[in-house]
Amino acid sequence: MKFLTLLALLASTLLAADIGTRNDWPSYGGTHSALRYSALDQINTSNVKTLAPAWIFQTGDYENGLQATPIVIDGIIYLSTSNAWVFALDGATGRVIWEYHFTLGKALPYGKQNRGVAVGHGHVFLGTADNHIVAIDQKTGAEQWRVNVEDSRQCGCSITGAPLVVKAIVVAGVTGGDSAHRGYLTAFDVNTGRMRWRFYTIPAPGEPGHETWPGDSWRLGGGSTWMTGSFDPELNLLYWGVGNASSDLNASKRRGDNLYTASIVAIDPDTGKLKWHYQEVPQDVWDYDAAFELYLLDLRLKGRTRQVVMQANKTGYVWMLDRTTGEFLKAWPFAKNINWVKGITEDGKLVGRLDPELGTSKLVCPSAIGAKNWNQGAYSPRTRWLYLPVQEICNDLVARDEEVSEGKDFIGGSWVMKPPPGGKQEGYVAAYDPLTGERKWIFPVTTWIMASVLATAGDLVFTGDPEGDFFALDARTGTRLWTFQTGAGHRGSAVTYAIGGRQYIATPTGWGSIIAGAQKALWPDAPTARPGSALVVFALPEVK
Amino acid sequence: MRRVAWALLSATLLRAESPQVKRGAEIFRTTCSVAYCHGANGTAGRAPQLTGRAFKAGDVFALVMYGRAGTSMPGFAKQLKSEDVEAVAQYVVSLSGPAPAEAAKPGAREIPASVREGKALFFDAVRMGGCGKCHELEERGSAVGTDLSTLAPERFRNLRAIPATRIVTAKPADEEPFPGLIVEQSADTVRVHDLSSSLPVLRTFQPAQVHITPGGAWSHADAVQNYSDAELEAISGYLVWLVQTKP
Repeated sequence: MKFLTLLALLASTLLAADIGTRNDWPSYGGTHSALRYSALDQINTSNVKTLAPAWIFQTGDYENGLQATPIVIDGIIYLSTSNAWVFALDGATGRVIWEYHFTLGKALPYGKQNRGVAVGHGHVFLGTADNHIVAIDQKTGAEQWRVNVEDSRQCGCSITGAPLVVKAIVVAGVTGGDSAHRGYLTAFDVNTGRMRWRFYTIPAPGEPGHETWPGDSWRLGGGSTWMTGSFDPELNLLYWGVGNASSDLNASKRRGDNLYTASIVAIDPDTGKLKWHYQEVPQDVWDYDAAFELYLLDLRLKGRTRQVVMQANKTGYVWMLDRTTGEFLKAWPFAKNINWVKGITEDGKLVGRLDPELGTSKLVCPSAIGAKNWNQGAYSPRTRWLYLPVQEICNDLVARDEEVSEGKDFIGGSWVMKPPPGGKQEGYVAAYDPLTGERKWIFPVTTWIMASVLATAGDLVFTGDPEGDFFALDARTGTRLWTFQTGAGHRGSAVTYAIGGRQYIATPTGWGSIIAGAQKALWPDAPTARPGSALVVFALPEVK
Repeated sequence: MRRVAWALLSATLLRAESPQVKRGAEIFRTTCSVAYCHGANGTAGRAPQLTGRAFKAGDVFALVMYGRAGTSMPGFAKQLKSEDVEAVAQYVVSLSGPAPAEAAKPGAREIPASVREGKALFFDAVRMGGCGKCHELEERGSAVGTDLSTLAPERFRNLRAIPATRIVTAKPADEEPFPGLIVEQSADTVRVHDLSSSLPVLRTFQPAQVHITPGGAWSHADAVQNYSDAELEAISGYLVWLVQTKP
């Protein structure tokens, strides 16, 4: 009995070690499983109250906030900014090792946004707001190659998400779901920049799934890939979330399921060929991207251990699929205010859709901003809970007929943000048991949480708010244990790493991004979210 | 000069003092600045910038109420009360300033129906290896290859037979050679487009890292192989029209 307990403990510890980060933060979501969980536990519930700033780095790029996830490898931090500047910093001191400044073109369809770089094979990979992918020498910061993925003036598209290194390729997504554009993923050779494959998220004539698009609607039907995917090396499958169909709110010209928009796709990274897909929202009419992070984890469901891919997105639902086959396992609501569907059946079918109409406004929850935005949640294998940044906001939707023109806005209606019926808009961090969908605790904030969540083996959950507070919650109770006012709003993704046995917590600060302007109107009495662009790094005081 | 000063002053006063403008700013933030449209304080997201323009309140009011057909600008008559639309209009007017000189758009001209097809084929996004991947025209495409607007119309007669005069062979250390187009060759940098990829790659080397020789294994016939003869003829028609009507 004791031996078995020990074995089980050992197994769970090993599992935690495998899917968590350690000294490095090597990839956008931490590891390729994207759990944003670190196995580091030097900073923990018993000592976090003594956590103090170690150093602060000001990027000097004070436009549109600091939205990136820093990458950390061998004690060096790789950080990108809205204007596509990249810094290599000494993780212990903040000293600049090199910096690289890309010069953005004039056509920036979604403004200046940059959510981070990828690092691998001696290169740092940067996607740009004018739709280039760039390789920079990891040691020197010298540019090695660049590719104009598509002319942003023509496509109305850009790269805002962090690329992902998978084996010997780097994969870049593309924005453009709110423009008339056909989405894709593109893979490049890490060393030469040569295109290895392209996967279009909308099938061409003759390909399976094309029949879900009437007429020419497939040519400019959206399906952008604007966030970063995950990778399972054992299954050799690349997972990516695909965004909304275009026009966003009006499906009158695209009656059909509109594959593979609002879907999770699994792709063979060696060929770019589709292995399976699962569509969360057929014929999306709410701008409900399924573009967000994909958590890869193993869970025991209905008496069987399943290899799961899990996603929490704008819809207010968490979706769980078998990541070997794409089989639907379950969907459960994490938001309180949901009325776009009455429910989702046990086999994944949407029931009681509330579609926007031409000319008549309807209050739909969640809003197009989503019950969760692109800022990521975290999963701790110690508590086995999922931690999500959630907002309860609805919107009045009205559909409109709109002429389509390549690369131009293609929304097909309008939205006005509104509080939920009979209530107030609110934001919070919450913990959920993904096996039951039960909310374990809730930590309400003054406005909303637009920064990512970080979970650690110290049983801590870190995030920051628009008012500038960066704080640590007890992962088991949701109690706030520590707070530091950083002086600027939080819209990026905190990470943790260790150098010479010392654990650091690093958070980007600086309010910005496309939704930043909505804050003041949704919460007019709240303090103004401060712009800025700094990396603030914390550690426990050194014992002398 | 004085008018500009007065406009700036009045805009500032309006911004600072009017509760209507304040109310308009609030509505603007939830309605106009969010989710891809006019950006924080009208400084532009995906929709046009509103700051520094010369708007009249009445025009803005009508536009906000009824939208603009054929664009993404919706009408808000059903969603907003008319006094709120007026407040938004006043707020947008408060963002006005001296209008910047309208930038002249070179190359923008009415395109006849007969060459429209050729232009669409030239920039065909659905076709991997389309002309626009290597050539920039009318502010579209990538400026990798020759600037076609500078060529004589007879050069477009046979698009397969265009001679590859500027092609080089680049041989990086530890890599196979590739056909390229030089962008920069100086004492400390060589920048060369790798044309062997379906999306051209701009490589940057130190001179010692790469050996450049004239000529290379590349032909325009290969580059345009995804087009049929009829399609190339349509593209020729577009190019001839473009250079012949050049201002």
